[in-house]
Amino acid sequence: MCTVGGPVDIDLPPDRVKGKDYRCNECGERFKGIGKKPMCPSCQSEDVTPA
Amino acid sequence: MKYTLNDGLLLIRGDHSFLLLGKAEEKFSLCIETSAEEFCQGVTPGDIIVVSAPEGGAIEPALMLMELVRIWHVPLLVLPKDHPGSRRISRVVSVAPEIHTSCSIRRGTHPEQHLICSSDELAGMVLKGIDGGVEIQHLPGKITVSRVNYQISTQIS
Repeated sequence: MCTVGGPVDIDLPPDRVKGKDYRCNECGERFKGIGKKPMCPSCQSEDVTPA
Repeated sequence: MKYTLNDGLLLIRGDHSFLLLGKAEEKFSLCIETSAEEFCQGVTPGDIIVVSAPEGGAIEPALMLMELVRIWHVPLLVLPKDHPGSRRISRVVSVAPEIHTSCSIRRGTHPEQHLICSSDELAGMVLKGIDGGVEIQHLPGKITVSRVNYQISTQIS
């Protein structure tokens, strides 16, 4: 992901960035993950399931 | 070429641009915030973090940006396309196990995780996290690679 900390100059076209919906099995957080290693943004757990 | 890199940073510098390269030290979820959605990317130890400054400039802002992401896991905010403020952004970040530098892509328009925009002189490299360091492939001849020593300290009185 080529982005910049703080405000950034990136365009994320929806047809090119397709995050998958996940649910964290530890804290229940629902989030949209990208990349090969989805990880809960709230508790950092990798124990997540596609939602 | 392989370079040992533990908790420090590497500076890959050309005549008028540079890359700052570091490795993630711990796992964390890096969030990218758009005006409509949040995307979260899992980062694990050994992944590399690259700050590219295609127009060069001072090292320190890139170093601070690196540490905001690497140490403090600051979310990345995304401006909509053609936002007037985007022209003031002169540094970009990429986080992935392996990153390719390219000058043939429009800055800020490539969400693929393995690409980072760079200047012409730094394009074509492959930066890869390996055990104990990083491997740099296709390093152009006139480019220098240096280790960066720095210290961020705070005194409150």
